[in-house]
Amino acid sequence: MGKVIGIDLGTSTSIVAVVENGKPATVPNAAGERIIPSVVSFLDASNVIVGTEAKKRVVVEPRTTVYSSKRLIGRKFFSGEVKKAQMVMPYEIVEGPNDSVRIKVAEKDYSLSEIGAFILREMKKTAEAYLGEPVTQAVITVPAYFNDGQRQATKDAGMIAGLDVLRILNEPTAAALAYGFGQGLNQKVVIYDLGGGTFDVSVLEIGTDVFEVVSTSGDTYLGGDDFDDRLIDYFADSFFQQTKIDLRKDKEALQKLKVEAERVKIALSDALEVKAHVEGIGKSKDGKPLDLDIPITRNLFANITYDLIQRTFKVCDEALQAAHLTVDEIEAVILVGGSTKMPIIQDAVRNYYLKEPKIGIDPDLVVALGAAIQAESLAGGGREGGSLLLDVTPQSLGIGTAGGLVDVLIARNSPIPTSATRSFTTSRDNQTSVKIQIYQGESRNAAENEQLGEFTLTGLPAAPRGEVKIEVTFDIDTDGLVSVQARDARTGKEEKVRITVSGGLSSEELERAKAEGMKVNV
Amino acid sequence: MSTDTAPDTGLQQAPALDPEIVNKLKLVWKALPRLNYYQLLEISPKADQGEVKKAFYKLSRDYHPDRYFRFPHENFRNAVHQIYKRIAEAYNILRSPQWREAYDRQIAEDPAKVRFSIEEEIKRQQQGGTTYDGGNGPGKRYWMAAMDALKNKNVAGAKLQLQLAVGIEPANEQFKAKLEELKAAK
Repeated sequence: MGKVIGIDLGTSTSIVAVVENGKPATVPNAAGERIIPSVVSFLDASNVIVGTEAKKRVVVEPRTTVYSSKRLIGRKFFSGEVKKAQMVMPYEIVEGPNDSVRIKVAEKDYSLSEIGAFILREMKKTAEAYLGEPVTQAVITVPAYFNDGQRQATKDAGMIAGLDVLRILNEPTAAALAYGFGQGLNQKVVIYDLGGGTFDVSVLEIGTDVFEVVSTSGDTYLGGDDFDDRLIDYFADSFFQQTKIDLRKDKEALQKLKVEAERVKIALSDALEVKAHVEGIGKSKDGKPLDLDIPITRNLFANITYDLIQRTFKVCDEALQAAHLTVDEIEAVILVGGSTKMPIIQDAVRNYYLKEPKIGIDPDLVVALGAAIQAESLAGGGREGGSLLLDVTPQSLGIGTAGGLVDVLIARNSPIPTSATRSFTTSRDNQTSVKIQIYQGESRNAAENEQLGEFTLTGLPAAPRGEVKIEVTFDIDTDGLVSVQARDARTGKEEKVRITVSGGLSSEELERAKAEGMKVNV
Repeated sequence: MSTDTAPDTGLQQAPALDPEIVNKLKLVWKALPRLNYYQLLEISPKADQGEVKKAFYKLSRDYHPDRYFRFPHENFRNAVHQIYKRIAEAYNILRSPQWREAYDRQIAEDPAKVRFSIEEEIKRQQQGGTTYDGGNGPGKRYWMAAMDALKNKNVAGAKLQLQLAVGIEPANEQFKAKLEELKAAK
């Protein structure tokens, strides 16, 4: 049996890792890079490039270069997040079947799973070149707060890339595993994970062989990208004051500004003041090229991102409350994700948790290393005394009821795998089908939650109302994925359940995407 | 899942495992529909939070699906999975003082019921039962006495007990609120 790899499929960057000689290590590509930009650029219909070369094309080929696609994976087309992305992304975001999202490049529509699959294929290829053998199995990480649709779409991406996904693993859990693996610790820890596009916080109890997630919370639309956006706004506003030219109306200028904003953000981690400089970003009235030259201090940067940082602590509050713990009881705070390299984040975390945050392992790499450890453990069949990860479901699972409300079946932070059973009955005589809607989220109102899908129990026997009783079992597996089974309580017969997962790909669509994807050279 | 009869599990055909574990698995699988959470976690109904957690960790080491990840027999893996899901459910209810109390009430009322019903608990609350979150102070026994009195439609007695509860724990909001409620209802 070949090696199982661990992949951190990130919003901005992706990393692949394997365990060799009992130690996890990240894998470099041919160019020696271990951190691969999660950017896919289409040269034509049958050739794409992924990584650093693709990222260079963000400015010159903005229409055919897709970045930060993880912000869209598993989302509904008619959602606020997608509307926001449509405003800022230079590539074309269009509506797909079932309220799903597609990215249109050169007249062809791609699902987000297909875009993710190009990145995963690059990671697979990198690992194969390094190991000198084919790789077919992987553990892929996702933000802990990802819902069922986002997890499923990520797993689909793996399948399209030709990978058997052994586990969808939560990023903070992976990080905790890398942190505590083989250390013989006995600690209550917090993982503060601020990535490129998502934020997670998990509270864990780490023991010698058991890693228990006590609670988790997050915001799947908050990350380093948002800090870049604040800098972009600041520079665009200042430039407008100087020149009366609005760069936001010029998508090419905006891309240049985005690249510069990211550079300034990173430079502000070392310097207290940095000057943004973009040559010829605009044109004066008489056609002369205008440069952008705007200085910014770390203090000002902290001020214009203050509310973003505070949003992370609201999430931290939730996680601590759910764990019934106070900051005094937390023994270590571990920083994960490239965005936690910002001193303004480290200062804020120190003030909130009243202790020095730990940056033992590179925050950019720690998730992939944890994924590799879990991959190795599963590859060995889990019987060789590896560490046991006990995770939870991040969001409550419920069903729609009369009046637009939700009945919770499995509460958030319940340990997984788990299941819940609920009986349904007919409300009319001779009713032969019952429709059930499934939601994930914390609101009492159905409309404020994410609808995972709906299913119809069909072929019920004709009987007076209330006589037919169907028992429906809702399962959440170790990947955090939801499935549903139904059976007639009287006959014990399994009922046919057809779930229409909104936005998801059918197995035929998956096979077709896989076949088509394989024709494309990555 | 309500497993009225234990289907064929393939548990017979599990080689290369400690026979003791296989035997135990078989027993637990057969008894699963009748085991309450305490029996399943092999703890006393009086077990404290530390003991609940310890039991969960121990059983996780034995039953977590990851331990059988490469195990060839699918039926066997499914059976372990079903058992583990119930263990996780038991832990989830028993680690929460509020849910554990509701669960204890449910199994006291109907010992044949082994799984917690959140539906039933919500119904009970909506029908005027009050969940207790008044803490474990000295006033609790008067509160309990007041609830008993209410069950017997003895409002005057309930008020008396609640006054005692408030007297001994003047800062307890739940005691005060219930007393006000009874006074207002008159």
